[in-house]
Amino acid sequence: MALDSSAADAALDRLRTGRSPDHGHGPEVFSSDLSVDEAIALREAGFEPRRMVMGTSMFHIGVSWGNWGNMEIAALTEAMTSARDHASARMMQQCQACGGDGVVGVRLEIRMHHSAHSIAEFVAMGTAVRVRDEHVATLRGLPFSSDLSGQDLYLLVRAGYRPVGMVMGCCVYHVGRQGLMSLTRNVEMTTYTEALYDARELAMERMQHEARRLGADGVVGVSITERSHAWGSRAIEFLALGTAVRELQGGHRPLGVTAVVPMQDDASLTDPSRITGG
Amino acid sequence: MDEQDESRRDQQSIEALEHGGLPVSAEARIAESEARGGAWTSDLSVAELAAVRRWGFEPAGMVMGTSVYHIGSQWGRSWYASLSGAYTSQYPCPHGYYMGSNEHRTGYNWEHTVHERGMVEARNLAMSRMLEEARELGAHGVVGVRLQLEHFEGVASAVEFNAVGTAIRRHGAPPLPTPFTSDLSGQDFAKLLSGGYVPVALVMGICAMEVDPGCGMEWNMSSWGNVELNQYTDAAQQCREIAMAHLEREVAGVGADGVVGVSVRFTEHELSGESKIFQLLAVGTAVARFAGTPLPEPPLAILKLGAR
Repeated sequence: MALDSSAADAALDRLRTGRSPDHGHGPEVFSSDLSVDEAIALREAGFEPRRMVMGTSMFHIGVSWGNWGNMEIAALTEAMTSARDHASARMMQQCQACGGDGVVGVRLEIRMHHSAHSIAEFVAMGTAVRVRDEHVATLRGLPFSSDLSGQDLYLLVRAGYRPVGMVMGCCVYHVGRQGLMSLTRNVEMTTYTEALYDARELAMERMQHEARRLGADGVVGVSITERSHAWGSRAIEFLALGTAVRELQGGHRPLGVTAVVPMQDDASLTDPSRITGG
Repeated sequence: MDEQDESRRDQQSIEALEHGGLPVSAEARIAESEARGGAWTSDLSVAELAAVRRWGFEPAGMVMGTSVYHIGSQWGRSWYASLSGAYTSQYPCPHGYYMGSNEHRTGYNWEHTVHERGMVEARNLAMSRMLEEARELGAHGVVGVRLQLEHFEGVASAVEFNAVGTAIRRHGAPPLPTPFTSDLSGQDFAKLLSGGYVPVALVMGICAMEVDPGCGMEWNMSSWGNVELNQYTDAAQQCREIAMAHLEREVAGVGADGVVGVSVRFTEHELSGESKIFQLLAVGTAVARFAGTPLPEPPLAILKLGAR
């Protein structure tokens, strides 16, 4: 490996003269919330960043009626789903407006405003990218979204897959009350088990359905989160989120495995961004 | 030092600050670290130090810049904003007839350009003072810059911008007209150079948007169903888009090709009545490409197979 530091002179010259060596993307500047590692990994994977894109939706959450048993609160599920859809759609609009082929590193955030009115703010943000490498050129023409990091996308492409879209399944569930329990016997609280089981299955099924609709081969990196937001502990939102993937025509380019001894102490090992490649 | 000397020093410092210079104490610290030669200070970790050395840089010293700034208020509504070319939007009463206790009231969203300019100016003062210290140390750039924004205690309209980082220099390289600034760590700086990019400047994009809700919003809020609040949504969406556009304008302004590691901070302040101010602050490191392909040092991908 070259240990010549003279490239640093070229770097300082660039700052002195203000001239860029390759005008790959013309006068447009790119913006991104990518870390340096992510930016390098993405470039290696055949993508280039275009713009940081964001979509917002502010929602007034209405009133729902129901009994006190185990049941889905359909109105809340619908509100949470459509608000996220609105935010994502606006983010994808921005992606298309800047000529992006997809958005990577998507984060979906939600903030509940604890005021007199029940207002929820949904935000979707990520970095719009353009496809440079012919290997993943089949991605052109369909803007995709993915919550994977730049490093994960690099590995995904090397493993022979491409992202087709972020998929989501949501279910807001009301957990009923369990009847009186015996003081001395061990017994499963089946009402609660059934409620949580049911809600998770519904959320995952909806996510699977979205993946099928996109014609995906599978979904990676699924996370399931449970949150009560501001509704009290009996109403729980289950959110399943993942990236739908499809196999690349070119097949996969396997990674060689190299043993590595990091020259840093243990604390920094848990943070991959702190390990230098040079 | 007697009282008279001290008040003279304070007076000198304030005069220097008013003319874009550094206070006496800062000049003295920089001069001393230069005079001793070699006794640099830095807040770099050992790994960061090793990383910047790999590209032939050495620490020149820790540098700092501070500014406490009064942000002016902006009264008057959209007519004022529209004069200054700012974003404005109107939300007339959607009903056209009298709705119970609600009056017909038009809602307005409008951008506070005075606030935005004040924040930019305060940031410029802090950054230029930090750069002045770096220049006096003969540095080529500042890494690990932490740009802190605090609301100055006790004064509602005052903000404090404080920038701290470690100035680095490359022995034998001619000085730069403006040293680069970056909030990247030493390791990230080294990796960025390996990737063919050089940091240019820490850049910022800001938008402040006032929302003065109209009767349409009140109507939405009283709904029993789920409904999107279009006036709020527009304000938040526009606020983000305008802040990003401002950020990209700064990136182009410093002659960079792009910006990495942007962090955004969205805040909301309640004003009198129903009005709110949304503010989005985006900060990142603008970078410029200095190498064509192939890269000076292609990255080595490492996949750790151990447990996380």
